Amino acid sequence: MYYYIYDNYLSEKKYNTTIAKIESRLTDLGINGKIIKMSILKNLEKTINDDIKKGIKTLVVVGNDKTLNQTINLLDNLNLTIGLIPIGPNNNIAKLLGIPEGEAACDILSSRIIKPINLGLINQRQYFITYLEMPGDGIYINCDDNYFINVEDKDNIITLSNIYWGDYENNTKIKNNTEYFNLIIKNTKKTIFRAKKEYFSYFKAKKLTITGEKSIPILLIDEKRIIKTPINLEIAKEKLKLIVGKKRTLI
Amino acid sequence: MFKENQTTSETDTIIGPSVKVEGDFVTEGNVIVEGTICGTIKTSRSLKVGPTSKIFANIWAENALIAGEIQGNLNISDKLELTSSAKIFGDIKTGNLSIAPGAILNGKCQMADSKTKATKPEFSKQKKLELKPQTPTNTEILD
Repeated sequence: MYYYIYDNYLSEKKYNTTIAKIESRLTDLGINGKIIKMSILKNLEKTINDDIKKGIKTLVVVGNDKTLNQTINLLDNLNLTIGLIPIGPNNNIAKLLGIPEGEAACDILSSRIIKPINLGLINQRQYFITYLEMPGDGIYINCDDNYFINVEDKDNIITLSNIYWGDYENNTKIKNNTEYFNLIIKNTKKTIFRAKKEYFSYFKAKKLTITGEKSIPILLIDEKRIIKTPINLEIAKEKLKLIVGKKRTLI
Repeated sequence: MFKENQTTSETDTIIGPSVKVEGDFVTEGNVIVEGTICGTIKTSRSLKVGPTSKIFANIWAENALIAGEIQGNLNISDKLELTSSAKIFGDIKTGNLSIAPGAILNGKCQMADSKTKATKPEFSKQKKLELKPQTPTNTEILD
């Protein structure tokens, strides 16, 4: 049985035609199911988890990267298969998974190529698929309980990725079975007369603990969250079963 | 060994100038150090130490190209290259060594295995040669 979660922004008029086409195609393919629409006013966590307990095997997220990230964090357990129908902007995960936008995504759903992918896990509570960003001034990072990284200079940005985004922009195949986070520390040195210089540090680690100030603002797919330190980060191996397309760049 | 302008895709770790690393840094990939490290560095591949870097650590690597300052012992299984800006305060153990003029090396240096050392011939058992200066004959003087 299929279960569909629609993002709140899809209620805009401009998406009405696309939604109608998708629903018609899903009925043709015989994979239509219950539809739940996300809303700021409704707490969907309980509704969705209750419905899943009734025997739903496939949950389909209709929206963008943010919708997918929100959905996987709403679920009590990730023992079901998750599909994606991308609509509108900010759909980089769908591109990685080889899922075309709108109606064409329905055919990918019906072909059901399932790939388990690793997820990043923050403080044993919150999952992320791609990457997170945070300011890196005065931060102390413990990597794999072996060594510490002390970020001393100002103007640092720390990027921690489960799926390395830079590779996607270079249009190369991206590995997701490495069990390692890619930790990138970008330092920008501003000078008055010369052009600003950027220095990069790059590490690989399985497990990280970030300590520093009382709380650190973290940017997670266009969503800013303030998380208290220490922040523990680890990889949840093959945690999410996603329906992917044949033209995926994620291997 | 590292080449000039090597891309980051071939490198597993880059320790930039804004970063200080403390502890046991163990990896199986290439490492580039431009910042500061205190502790130990172990890699089964190559290590490149930039001119601005300061390392207070014992190092184990397959190959190393050093342009910065190291206070610690180096154990390089294959090739060690010290550029003119390199400063080493520690002992070196390596297979091949190349030192550019201007590099500073303060410590013991051990190269290759002791097996490659030539065996000393037993001089004591040989008969001593009598090496007397030859005096010219009378005929030679007359000539």
